Amino acid sequence: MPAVNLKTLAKEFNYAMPQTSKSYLKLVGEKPAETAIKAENFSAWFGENCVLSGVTTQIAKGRITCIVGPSGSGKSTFLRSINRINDSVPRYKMHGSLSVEGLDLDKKTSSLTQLRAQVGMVFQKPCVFPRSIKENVLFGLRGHKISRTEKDQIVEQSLKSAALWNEVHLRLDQSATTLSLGQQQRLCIARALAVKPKILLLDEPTASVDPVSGRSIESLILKLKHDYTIIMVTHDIRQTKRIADDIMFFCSGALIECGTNEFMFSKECSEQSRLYLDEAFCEC
Amino acid sequence: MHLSHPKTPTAHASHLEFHKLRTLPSRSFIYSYATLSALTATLLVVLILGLLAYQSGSAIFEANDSLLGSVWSPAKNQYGILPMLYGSLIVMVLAMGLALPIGILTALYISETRSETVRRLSKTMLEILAGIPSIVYGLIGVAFLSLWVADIFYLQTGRVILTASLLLAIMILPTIITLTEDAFSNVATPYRENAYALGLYRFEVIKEVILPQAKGDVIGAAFLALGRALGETMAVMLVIGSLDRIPTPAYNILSSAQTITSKLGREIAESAFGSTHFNVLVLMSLILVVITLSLTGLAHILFKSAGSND
Amino acid sequence: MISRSTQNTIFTGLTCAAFFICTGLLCGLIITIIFKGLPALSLSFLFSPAQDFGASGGILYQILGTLLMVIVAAIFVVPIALGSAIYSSEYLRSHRKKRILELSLLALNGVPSITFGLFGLILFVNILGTGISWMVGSIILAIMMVPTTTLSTLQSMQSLPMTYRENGYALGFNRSQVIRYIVIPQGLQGLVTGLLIGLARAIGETAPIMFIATAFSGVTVPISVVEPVSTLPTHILSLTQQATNPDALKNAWGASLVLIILVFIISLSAFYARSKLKNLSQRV
Repeated sequence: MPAVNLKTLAKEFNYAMPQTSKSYLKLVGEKPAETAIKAENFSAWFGENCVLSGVTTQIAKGRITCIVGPSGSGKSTFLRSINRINDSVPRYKMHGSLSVEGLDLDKKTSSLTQLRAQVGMVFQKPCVFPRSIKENVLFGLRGHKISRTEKDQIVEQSLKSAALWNEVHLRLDQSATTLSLGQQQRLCIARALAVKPKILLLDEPTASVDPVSGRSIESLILKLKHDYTIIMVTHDIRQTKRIADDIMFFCSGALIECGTNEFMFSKECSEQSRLYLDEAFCEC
Repeated sequence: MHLSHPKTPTAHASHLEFHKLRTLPSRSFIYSYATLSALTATLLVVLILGLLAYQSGSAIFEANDSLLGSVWSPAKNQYGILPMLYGSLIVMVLAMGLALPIGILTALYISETRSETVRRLSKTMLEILAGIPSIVYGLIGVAFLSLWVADIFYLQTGRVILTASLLLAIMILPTIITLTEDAFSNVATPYRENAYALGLYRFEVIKEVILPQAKGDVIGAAFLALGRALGETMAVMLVIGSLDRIPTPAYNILSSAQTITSKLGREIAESAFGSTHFNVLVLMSLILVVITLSLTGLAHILFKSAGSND
Repeated sequence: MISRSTQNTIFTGLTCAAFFICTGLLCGLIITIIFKGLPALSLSFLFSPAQDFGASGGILYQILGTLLMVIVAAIFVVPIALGSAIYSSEYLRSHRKKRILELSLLALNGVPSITFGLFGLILFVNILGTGISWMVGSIILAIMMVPTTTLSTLQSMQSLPMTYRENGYALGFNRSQVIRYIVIPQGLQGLVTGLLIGLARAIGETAPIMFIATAFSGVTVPISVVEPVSTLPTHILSLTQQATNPDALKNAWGASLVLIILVFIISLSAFYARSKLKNLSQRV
């Protein structure tokens, strides 16, 4: 789709976002899908350190949104704010609103837990619990009343969706720590899927695994896109180009620009984004 | 000037001196001094254990039959140490039973609230608590706790097993909280975050992730606290009632008793050096040291193995 | 079956309750000691000798005796702790020997305090025939302080980066010089901190000194090293044993408050030493 059209389309659907302190924020896209996450003037601090300032955006359902930007730009903080996992970090404060699937959050634990059950997350470093593979997959369902057969089904289903079933179905009772790093990362994805979330947050899921496993995780992500809203932080710009539907570019704690993959890699996007996406270079 | 000119006198001298420095014997003054100090530290342990063993050896021959009995009466040559062993055991177990749950729950509160302020304040608080000398706890036990226990249970004297256990529980709380809190805080954050991200409640995260990960350290802390409880003298001595009998029935915690430490504290000054009475006391002390050191050793083995798991 | 959120609430409540019980205990203890001790405190209490086995009069000689014993103990412990730490950090290369030293320090730390008293009684008072003497008490207290002081010194010596030592050798220092000019200055902070922590503990010890170094009444300033003194902890002990006498009890509280104030002064200095004294490697 030609870039010019995108801009006009954006106007047409009134998809453009209000002014932020940093720059005019353009969100350009195709006909907007339903919104999964909506941030309004969202800011975050670690102690006195402002790591996110005035982020206002929407993230569409059923698409892969890649968050890119240099180190320390606040992209991970933003991702971790979505399921409020940052709440447990000492001295973390936030301000503004961030609603997920229409859930407006107060500080109550039960709603936090509900939120986290809807928003699966996979971290940069695979972290399996020192238990069997099966127990790892079912970890998020502890406390739920589920029959044995149901459990087996869930394990099979989740591992299949995470493309791990063929490799491990004969040793489900072995310790998960015996798996390779790439397998562990896919196990983490399976574990997140077993809770049946609507949104999947991925914090550089391929950064700490070897390239081959990275590619298999990548293709897995593409497959998962049909069932889940996927939001992913990545440093790999080529990977972004390969799999992203939408791209958000963060720099020094501000959302500089976001738009579809085509738009962000076209000549239409701002100078800053292009510099970063072309040459991984950032002036801000 | 050419610096490395061999015939320049200064260069020659410094070269010589350098040579001298390099070949200086490593067994210098500092070496002998350091070795001696380290030897002192090591030999002290051997000396203490050896001396106790030597002194108590004769007790086994002199008081052989009565030793494992439950009658203590030096006048009749009866030296049964069972009442003391039993007293130490029951006081220790009770104190532990009271302090461990409260200690662990408190440690969980401090570590899982994940607030720096709470943690800092608590650590200060624990250091203050740990700094109160045991004799002051004894004074509090005598002046308040024993009177309260006597009032509540309508006893003639409040100096009973329960009082000693309560006091001891308060005294070992700081050790338990500090060590278990460290263990919980040392559980790697990713484990916590992964579990929370799956939508588990704090209770479930603690039960399924934190406790299993910190298990070794927590048990180690418990052993260390047991050692402390067993070796504590002053406070226990003042509130245990000093009665050399196994209470009847044995689980009657509202009766006076005697622990090894309180026995030692009360009677060492009274017994003549070298007498059977004295030697049996030394034997009890040796038993105490052996148990305490085993508990401490076990604790450190557990700490070590828990540390190497990461 | 209780629901998950109820379980969570109950558990959170329990931890909260435990925390507040502990806080309450601490506050109760401190308030009791202060309120019971303050009425007994006065200048004449601090600076007059005890009479009637302590029931009237002050605690002048008890304070002096306590200070004398712990200060001499500190003088004994410094060379041993420093030497052992140097040996372990600079000379010991054998892992097994290091372990033995470490184990004996831990063992020394784990020995119950009453056993030290018994040890002193057998070795010094009876075998060596010193009789009841404050010097023996100081030696025993010093032995009890060795582990804390040594381990603390060792820790700060081992935190010295290897480059400092290598630079020392590169300057032509031999090993003794490296130790004198580089390692010992580095260890000083740990030495002072460990010594003060040990002192704070030793000053409150009763069990190890009560039958080898102290007498309960009629004690003034010792003229020789083989005389008994009276100390605050043993004084409190003898007063506590007269608990039926309200005057004695009042003075016991006064002496306890003085003892605790001494402990806190030493602990605060330890804290100060830890935060203010800089290691060689931390100096700018």
